[in-house]
Amino acid sequence: MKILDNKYAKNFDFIMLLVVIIISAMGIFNLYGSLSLSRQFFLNPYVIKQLVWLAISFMIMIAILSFDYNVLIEVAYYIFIAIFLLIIVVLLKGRITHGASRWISLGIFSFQPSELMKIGLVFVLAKYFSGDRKGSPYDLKDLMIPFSLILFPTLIIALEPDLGTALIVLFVGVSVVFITGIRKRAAIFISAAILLAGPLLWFHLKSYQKSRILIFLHPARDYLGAGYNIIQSEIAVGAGRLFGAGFGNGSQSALDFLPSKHTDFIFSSFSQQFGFLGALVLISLYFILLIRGFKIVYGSKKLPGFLLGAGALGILILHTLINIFMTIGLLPVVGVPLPFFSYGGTSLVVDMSAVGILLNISMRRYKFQS
Amino acid sequence: MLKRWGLYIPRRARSSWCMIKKWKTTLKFRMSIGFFFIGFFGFLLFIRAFNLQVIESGRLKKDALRQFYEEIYYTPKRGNIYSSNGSILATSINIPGVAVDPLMVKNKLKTAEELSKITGISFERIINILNLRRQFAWIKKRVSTRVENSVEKLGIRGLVIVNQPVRYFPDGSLLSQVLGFVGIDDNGLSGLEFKYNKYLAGNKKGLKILHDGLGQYILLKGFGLRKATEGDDIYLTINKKLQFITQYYLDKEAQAADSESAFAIIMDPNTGAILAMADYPEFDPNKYWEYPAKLWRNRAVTDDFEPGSTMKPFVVAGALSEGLVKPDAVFNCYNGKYPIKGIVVHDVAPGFGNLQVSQIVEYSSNIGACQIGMKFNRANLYNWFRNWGFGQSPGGGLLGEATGIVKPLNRWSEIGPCEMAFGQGISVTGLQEIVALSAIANGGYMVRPYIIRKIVDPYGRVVFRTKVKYLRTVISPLVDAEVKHMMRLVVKGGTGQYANLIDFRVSGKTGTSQIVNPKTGRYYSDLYNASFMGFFPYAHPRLVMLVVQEKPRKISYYGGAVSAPVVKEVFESAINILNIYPGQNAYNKEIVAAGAGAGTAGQNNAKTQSGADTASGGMPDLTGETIYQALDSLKGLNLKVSIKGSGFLYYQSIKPGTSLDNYSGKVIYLKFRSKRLSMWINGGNFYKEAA
Repeated sequence: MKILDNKYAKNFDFIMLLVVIIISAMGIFNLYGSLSLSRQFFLNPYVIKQLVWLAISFMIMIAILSFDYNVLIEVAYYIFIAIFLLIIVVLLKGRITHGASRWISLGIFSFQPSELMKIGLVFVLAKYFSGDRKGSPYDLKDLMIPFSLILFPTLIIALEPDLGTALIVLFVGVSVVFITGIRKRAAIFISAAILLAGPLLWFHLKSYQKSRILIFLHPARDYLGAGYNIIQSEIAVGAGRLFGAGFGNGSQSALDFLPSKHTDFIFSSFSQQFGFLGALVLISLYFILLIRGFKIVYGSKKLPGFLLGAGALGILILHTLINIFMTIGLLPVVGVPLPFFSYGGTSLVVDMSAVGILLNISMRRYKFQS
Repeated sequence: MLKRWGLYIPRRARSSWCMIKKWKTTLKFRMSIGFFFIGFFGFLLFIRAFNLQVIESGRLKKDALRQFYEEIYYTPKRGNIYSSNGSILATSINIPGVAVDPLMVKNKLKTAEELSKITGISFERIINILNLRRQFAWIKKRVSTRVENSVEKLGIRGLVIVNQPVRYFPDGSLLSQVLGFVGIDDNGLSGLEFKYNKYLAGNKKGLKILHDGLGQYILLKGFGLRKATEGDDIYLTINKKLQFITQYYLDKEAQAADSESAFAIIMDPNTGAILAMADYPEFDPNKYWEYPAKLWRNRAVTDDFEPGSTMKPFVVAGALSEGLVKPDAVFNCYNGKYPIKGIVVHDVAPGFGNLQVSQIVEYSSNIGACQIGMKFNRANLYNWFRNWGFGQSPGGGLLGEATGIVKPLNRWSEIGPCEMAFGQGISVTGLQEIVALSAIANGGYMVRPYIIRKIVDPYGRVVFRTKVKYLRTVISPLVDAEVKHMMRLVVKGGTGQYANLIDFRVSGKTGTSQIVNPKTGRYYSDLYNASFMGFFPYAHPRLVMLVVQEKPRKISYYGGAVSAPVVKEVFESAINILNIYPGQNAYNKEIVAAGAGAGTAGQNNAKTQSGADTASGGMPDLTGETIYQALDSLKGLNLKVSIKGSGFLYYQSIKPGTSLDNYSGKVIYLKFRSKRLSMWINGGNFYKEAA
């Protein structure tokens, strides 16, 4: 095929795209089976909405692919500022659900700008570090600007409050900084600061946030209260056993025992329906995705691409690991969706953009060769 | 790769180029760290998932099940118990009770006052109940409809009427010890109610149900509804009329004799069906808690006693079968005092001289029986007791069937055979004794007694049906005829004359046995068990009956005096209840009359109908039927019947299926024999000529 002889296509990572499509398809399928019993009918609003979001995010991914990522990095500051403004708008005038103001409503759809911040931050950091002047590892005072770029949005998101997203934004930013290469002194200082911030932050946490962490340590403390989520999730994962209960037969999700069964705890629903083997297949797919990501980042020939790719890959890694670890009780409950699998538009857009960035890098690595 | 990559460096990126070169050197290291972390977390993930989904999955699966899968406990309707003619002996009805949700009651004082007025419970008690910090409390269970209506009229929030199933025995104390009773939680606690609770109770967890995380029930079509939710019905062999009559006369005699307790059993000797089983004193199972627990047990099967002289026919039958004596052998009865091996055996004063074996039975001579017993090889006698079913559970399907006590051979004393021959030093239960007596009545074979005719599930399917079971043949027809004759003599002119009827030949045996004082281990000097066992009609017995009275203190302590009259009265009534005819001439008369279309009005309807059904199809197949079944089948066919033998039909002169048009008014010859007669005839050494 002619299109495959294209110089871009030659380097395009089709495996990654294929894996993403497979996971997305499984996600739609699984979403259908994870809904409440009364909602398990063909073309129910959840599935339709998710399909629409999938289409939108694919278009966004194609849009990202169609620009050279270097061009995108050039406009990084505009992207960042636009998203930053959105966050502030949300903080002041957002749709309030569950006591937090995280959403901007667009009629039928609503989305979370704080999610988009992850992508914005990756761009702006890539821009900042690739516009470097020294060529030596960064020291503390050189990191003032990047850290303010990280911390301001983090704080605002934390004020919404959406601690989970805030933490991921923070982690994405910090990992980009680390991958850029910093002095040992700085590295130690930053690590120490984060470690110290932990206990300090504790006193500013809301009670539900505190209890989530306490519950993570002792789930049985409050069986029907704060520990409910994680216990139900573990039950769902375990009840699937080796081969699973079968499609649509996940009692925990179908009978509404598992909260957020179609968003944050989708992995648990999946595990109950398809068992250990199903979970193994899904985890392997994610593993392939991340390995391909590593390959792309490692193979990128330019610093901006490398940083951008590392940031995008960081988003995917954090999302995947935190979500799955949370559902099987290895991490406290934080509202992080599973990429391409959880119901929810904004996160799908973010993850798809990250994939777009990675694919963009992969296909443009030899741009200037030919 | 570096070389290739270095071919072109764009101007704009030149500043970063030296840097890339630098971090490329450490990149591999950092990427490995990244890889290592991913790998590590991936491995952790795998371990955890494996742990949850494989190792702990069983527990978690159970947790999940427990959450959404519920078995709703509701008490289904308990099965009924029916008598043989289909009348209800035990059933369940809903009775209202007054309950309250104390937290919902606003004006406690006023409510308590009103309730106190209606129910008659003291004001203070009701106030205490209303002050409970619970959501449910009973005010009063089992109230009358009037109380129910008044409470409903009050219309106070929090007061509820709760209907609860309550076991109801319409006949009160009738058959109470056999049926048992049912506790407040609808579980049988005694008798058949207890023993067959599994069937009667039905599926308590009748409904399996899903519920969701909000606790709402989800009813899916077809899910979880188990089929049989109600209890099975049990049909007994008990004939209610006979039971009533038995109970009535037993009570009457036992009261007159001031007996401590008494029981009576009636059985069909041909099938082993228990037709009546009465205990005295009775209790009312509707209010079982008002009676002492010692009245609850069914003495006819749970209590063993030393049978006394009623043992004699069994021992004599054994002696005849073994060829140890001939029926007309003469024994010296030493005028009432017979010293043997250190003890003295007494007869009733003034004692007897020389008695034939039949007279020993007739006049119930202990001395004679003792000498017959001593003729036995000890092991042989022991085997005979086992043969008669003593010392073994009779397997009648009743609660608490005792085995009685037949001491093992090595614990027999010198004079063991002597005293056992007249029924001391050996314990039997009523049920065992009547089964043994049935063997004498029916021609020599042991039947398994039964009281459960069938068990029918709520859909009308028979889940269990008792088959008549012949255990073994004990004595040959020849010996049987002799023993029957001896027992006939007992009633005709011997100790059991009170049991005699005018038109019918009743056979029987009296028994008066001493009772062991459980404290001293010796016999009481003035307390006895007075028993009588009998059967009738003589040629083809239809009923066997045993009456045992414990410690009668007035009138007399002789079985022939206090127990035989019960048998007589019951047999007299049974003639009418069961339509028993005194002899073969009477059958013929009856059948001719029926054939003329006159006399079947009083008959069992079902049987008449079946007779009519078979008439249209010609001669019915009677093979294997008992005499009475055969006669029932032939009713309305306008045939004369000639009967030979007893037991089961093996020959009919008109072949099955033959058109009966040409046979009107003719004689049909029926031949009966006990199941294993042929073995007797051909088998050889079971019946020995007396030496």
